[in-house]
Amino acid sequence: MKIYNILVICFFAIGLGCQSKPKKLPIIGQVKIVGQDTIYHKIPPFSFVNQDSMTVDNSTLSPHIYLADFFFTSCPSICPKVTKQMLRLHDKYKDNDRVRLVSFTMDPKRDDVNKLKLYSKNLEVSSSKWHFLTGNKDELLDLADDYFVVAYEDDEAPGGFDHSGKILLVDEKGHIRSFAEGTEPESVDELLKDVDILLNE
Amino acid sequence: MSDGTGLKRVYPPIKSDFSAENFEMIPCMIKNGYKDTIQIGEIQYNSAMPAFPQLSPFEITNLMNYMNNEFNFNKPFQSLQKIRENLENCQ
Repeated sequence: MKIYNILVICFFAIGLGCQSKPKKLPIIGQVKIVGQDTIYHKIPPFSFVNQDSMTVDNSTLSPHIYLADFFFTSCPSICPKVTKQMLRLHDKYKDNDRVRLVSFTMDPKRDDVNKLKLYSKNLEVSSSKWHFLTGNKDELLDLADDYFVVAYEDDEAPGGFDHSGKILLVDEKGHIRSFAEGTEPESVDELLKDVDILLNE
Repeated sequence: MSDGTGLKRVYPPIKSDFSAENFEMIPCMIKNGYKDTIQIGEIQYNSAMPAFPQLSPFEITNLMNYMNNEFNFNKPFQSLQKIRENLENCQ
């Protein structure tokens, strides 16, 4: 009798386990507990201009989920590889209006609006889908911290900037939900799956 | 990219007639960068290629032989001596 009971409980447990709960992505970053509230890491307010000289800030992006990276057009090292992966993401979600792409330059001195316009034109992408943003250098480099991207000026580094090639997935509320190493196509394979999960949440 | 195909109209393909025809120019292009327009097929590439001044003649020789083999430019083996002379005559 006892064994029978245990078996029933087991079947029940397996049954519950099988009820496919829709998978959710975690919220990445430090969590603060303030009183009764849990505060998750969020991209702080920013305001820059894109390749059409249009102001892009948090509210421009908040109806969308977006993929972000930090780059500069004259980057001699990892940026071309990362851009190629961003382009892969772009091509997959080109027709999905919920998804946007954002590339922040680390080098606004050289990457002005014209330079970014030419770059996006040469990539054959539309400015309503993929924003290339420039603005105040300190604000851009400070913001990289909030995306957990290494980005700082270093005369010794190739091209004058030391940086990591992360691609971040940000949700409508400004929370980072996933990321990939933009230099590794296999890592971006996983990110593509995560974008689909986020779209279905 | 690593397969020599380039990226859209931003980065020109290494694997191209341009590279084969201008093979002698490439060591200097790697070392000092390149700002002029490159025309490959119907596309004009205008983005400047960054310089890699930190690369030694030995490293550039290795790159040249790698490209020659990988992308079938059918050039003879490039000796360090030849690349060194080439680099001394960069414009």
